Amino acid sequence: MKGRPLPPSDSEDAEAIADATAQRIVAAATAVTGHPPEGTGLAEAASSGLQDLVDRLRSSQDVSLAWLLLTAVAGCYPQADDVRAVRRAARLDDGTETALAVLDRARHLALTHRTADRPMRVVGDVVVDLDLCSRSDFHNGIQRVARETIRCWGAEHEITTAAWTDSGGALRSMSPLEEARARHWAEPLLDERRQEADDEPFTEFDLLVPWRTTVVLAEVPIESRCPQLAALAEFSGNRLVAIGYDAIPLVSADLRPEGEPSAFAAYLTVVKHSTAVAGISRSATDEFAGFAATLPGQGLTGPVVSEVRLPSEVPPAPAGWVRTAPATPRVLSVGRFEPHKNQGALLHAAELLWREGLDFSLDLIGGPGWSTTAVDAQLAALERAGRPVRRLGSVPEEVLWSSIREASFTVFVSLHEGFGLPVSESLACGTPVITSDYGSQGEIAEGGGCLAVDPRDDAAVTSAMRRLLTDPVELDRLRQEAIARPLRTWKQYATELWDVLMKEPRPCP
Amino acid sequence: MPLSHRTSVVASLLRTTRVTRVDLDARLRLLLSAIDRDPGATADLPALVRAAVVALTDAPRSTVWLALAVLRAELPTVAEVVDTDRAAQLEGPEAILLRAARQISRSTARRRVRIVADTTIIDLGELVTNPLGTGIQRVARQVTTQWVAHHEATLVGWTAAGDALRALSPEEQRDALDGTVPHDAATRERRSAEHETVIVPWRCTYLLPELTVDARRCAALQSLATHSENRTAVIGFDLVPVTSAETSAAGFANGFALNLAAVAHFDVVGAISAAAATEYSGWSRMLAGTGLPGPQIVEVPLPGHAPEPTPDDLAEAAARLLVPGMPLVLVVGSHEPRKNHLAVLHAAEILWRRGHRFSLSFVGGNSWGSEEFTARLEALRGAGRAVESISRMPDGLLWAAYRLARFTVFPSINEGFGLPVAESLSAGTPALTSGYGSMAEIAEHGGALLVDPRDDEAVVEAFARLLVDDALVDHLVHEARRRPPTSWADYAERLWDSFHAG
Repeated sequence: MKGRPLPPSDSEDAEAIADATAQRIVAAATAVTGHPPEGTGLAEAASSGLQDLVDRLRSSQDVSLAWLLLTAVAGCYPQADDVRAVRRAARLDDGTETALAVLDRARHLALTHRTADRPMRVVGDVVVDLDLCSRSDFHNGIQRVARETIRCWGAEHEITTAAWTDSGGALRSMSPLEEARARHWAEPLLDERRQEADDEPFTEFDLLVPWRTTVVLAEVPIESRCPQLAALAEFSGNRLVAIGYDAIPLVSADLRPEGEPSAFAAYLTVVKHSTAVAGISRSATDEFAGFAATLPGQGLTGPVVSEVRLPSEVPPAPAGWVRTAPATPRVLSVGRFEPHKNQGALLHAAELLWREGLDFSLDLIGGPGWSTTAVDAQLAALERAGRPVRRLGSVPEEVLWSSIREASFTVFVSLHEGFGLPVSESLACGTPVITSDYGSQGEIAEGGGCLAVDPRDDAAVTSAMRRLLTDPVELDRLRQEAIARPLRTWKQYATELWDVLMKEPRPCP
Repeated sequence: MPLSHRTSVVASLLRTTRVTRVDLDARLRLLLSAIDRDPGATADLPALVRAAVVALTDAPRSTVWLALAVLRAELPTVAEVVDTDRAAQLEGPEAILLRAARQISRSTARRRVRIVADTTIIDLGELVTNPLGTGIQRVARQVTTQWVAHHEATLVGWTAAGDALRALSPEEQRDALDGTVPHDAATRERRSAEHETVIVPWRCTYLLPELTVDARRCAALQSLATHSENRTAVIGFDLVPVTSAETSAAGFANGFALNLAAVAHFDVVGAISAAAATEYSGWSRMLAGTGLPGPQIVEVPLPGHAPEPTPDDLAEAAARLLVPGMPLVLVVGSHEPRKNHLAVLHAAEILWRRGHRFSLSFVGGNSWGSEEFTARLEALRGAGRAVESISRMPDGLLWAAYRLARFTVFPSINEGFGLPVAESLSAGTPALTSGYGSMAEIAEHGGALLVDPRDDEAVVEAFARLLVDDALVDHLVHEARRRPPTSWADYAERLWDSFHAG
């Protein structure tokens, strides 16, 4: 081969593929039978292992064996129609049909995902899918929840964390850097691993094959993974469980970018075959329970959906910090600039109040989301009018927390949230919030410290802001309520989550 | 309002009329008379603007919606209504006029506008622009035909841009309801250009008897349902594109979700079965995070009816379908994966291998994801099995085919209704179908054998029983013949009442 060596997955090294395939078949047969297949040498053992698995599939018609066989031979997970085709071949088999169907399907899968040269590890521990957390430095709501959860779980339980192969063919082991990104975010270890890492793509991974265990979706998987995950959930015999964040892409599709509803619908094909979903709020729980309630129409029951509400843990205030009220009230809004966050209502209300002669400043923290045209125009008009409004963009953590602590109150009147971290975090900092009076925001508001309003009613938003700007007694009352709210920690959340997701008995081997 | 400001509004509107040649006077007059501010016949543009500014002062959002719709000859989106309302609060009601005028293009300027008030509007949407033979369009045609025969209603379609409802010519109405006239795109385009009379419904009941997934139309309907003073109702067929996305073409869920975002603001969904109602109710619960109550969901089951075939049709179908000495097993429906036709082929092959003799005919077109079915069918034909696939069949022959078959097979994974099951049973022919959802509902009155469609063995065994057990087949035929009759007239009437109640 000339030039730069290609990663092994692109090489034509038939021997590497043959060896890895033999290794995978031996691993699969060993997992099923409890002992390595007979035969001298890898090739012979693989041959007898394959025959044994095929025979078992033919006699038992156990569909999970069809899934495992395909995975082992292809070096990636099958989709549902692959599994059905092999199951049907095994039913019709007059001698060769099963093996031929496996090879036919596996060849197509192997060519699609090109990881047939990798060995596989059969995993009996709980497997946690942390694809995005391990591969990227994004640290938005979902990644924060996933990383905090795994930090707690990792200290308590034997778990295997997994990423996906690039094309989404199978779960795989993580590189040391990926593992640190997923499990040790913001810890010194991550920086060490960053120093050590080279820029080469990580190719020396093991394929991970969960067997008779539980797979946890701690994130929302991207679309390309979903057909494989759906087949895993339906046919592999593993339990698949998930954190249910929200159904915004489907239910509020009018406020989201094109393509998101389809990706979410693909995710729902996984959810419908899952065992349990833990919603991050009552409203998120309703969303997933509502989806489960559609399923009898297709003869399915769907997952058991329970609520495990997210925590409200914030870093402690700096030592010796004492709050001093600002000379003029400071209103703060934290959240990405996106249509469903409804910053338009806030800016409109602020302008009305400035025109009334109220004296306050408005700070907006948050990066740009998928569409900012409308809000940009509003902000430009306010800036032209010389209003004391500042768009701060994304800010470092310490600036975020001090801004929240020093604000008179925050405004977060989103049209649709799975939870509303900015609401609970503001309250945990002791800062009152004007928030929406329904869904997860309404739930958080029930615990005190908030004025809850209809976010679609500009007059209501305006009137709530006017009240907190002009009624110091009310503001102080809300501040006391916020301070009095019970704290809920990530550890509490992670413990409850584990109990809820794992509480059902594991499937019998 | 300072005089200079008002003068500049008039100047700006005059500029719009000059550039686009829009008859803004006429549109302002129409708007004013709709909100009971008849300006008098002699009013000129400045007088009309004065009257409109008074009329639109502190206007509710429903009036903002009406003003934008009438002045632009285009249905505004939710964001446009909200933004215009906010601008009116900050800059005065003139902002509504200015924003509307700014949106008028040369092409929308040519449109005539008609406000239709206090009646029922029936949206024939795709029946006009994209006529197909789908189950949804069959329902929309049948129900609308019944409605217009018995009730006062205005039939509308959409502009090519999907930005406004428009009047339909008698010719267009007839063809849309007939559904048999071949339409070519050029004719449709010419017709739609000729009839650019935009209809703005006001205090009407708007009925959507079909499915629209076009993004612009969905945005217009969402705003109409949210902001206008119209009652809105829609037939709810199923939520398959989002609850069984693995069985529909990639990307289809995008448009369907926009449809749902609009329907979330509707007053009523008329679900075509209890199963469809279950799906819509589950979705309605999913609205928890949006603070919306969601529409009322009423269950109005579709009729299922296979009319008596003519002797000629019967003879032609027999010649076409029957293999002498073999019972015919009939499968009706397109070959998309959801219909589970691979399981039918699998069961048939097991039974052929067991020595059963029967012929198997599929009637239905190819579709997304049908390649594997086609390949498997070809392999079986190659092996000499008595199986065939007929992609199209005239209705008369289909009604005959139902009567020639020993039984039909319809083990679909998910259906809003399952029309072939209802049609088979109404023809007195037993059906093998799925033991849940709408298919089990249809089977409630007898005539069907129910199975778990995901269980290949169950399909095989039921298939075998229907092949060999004459007593069972006789019993099911007897049950099927005793089923209560259903009709489009009854269905349309019940739906009309549900849509207008409240």
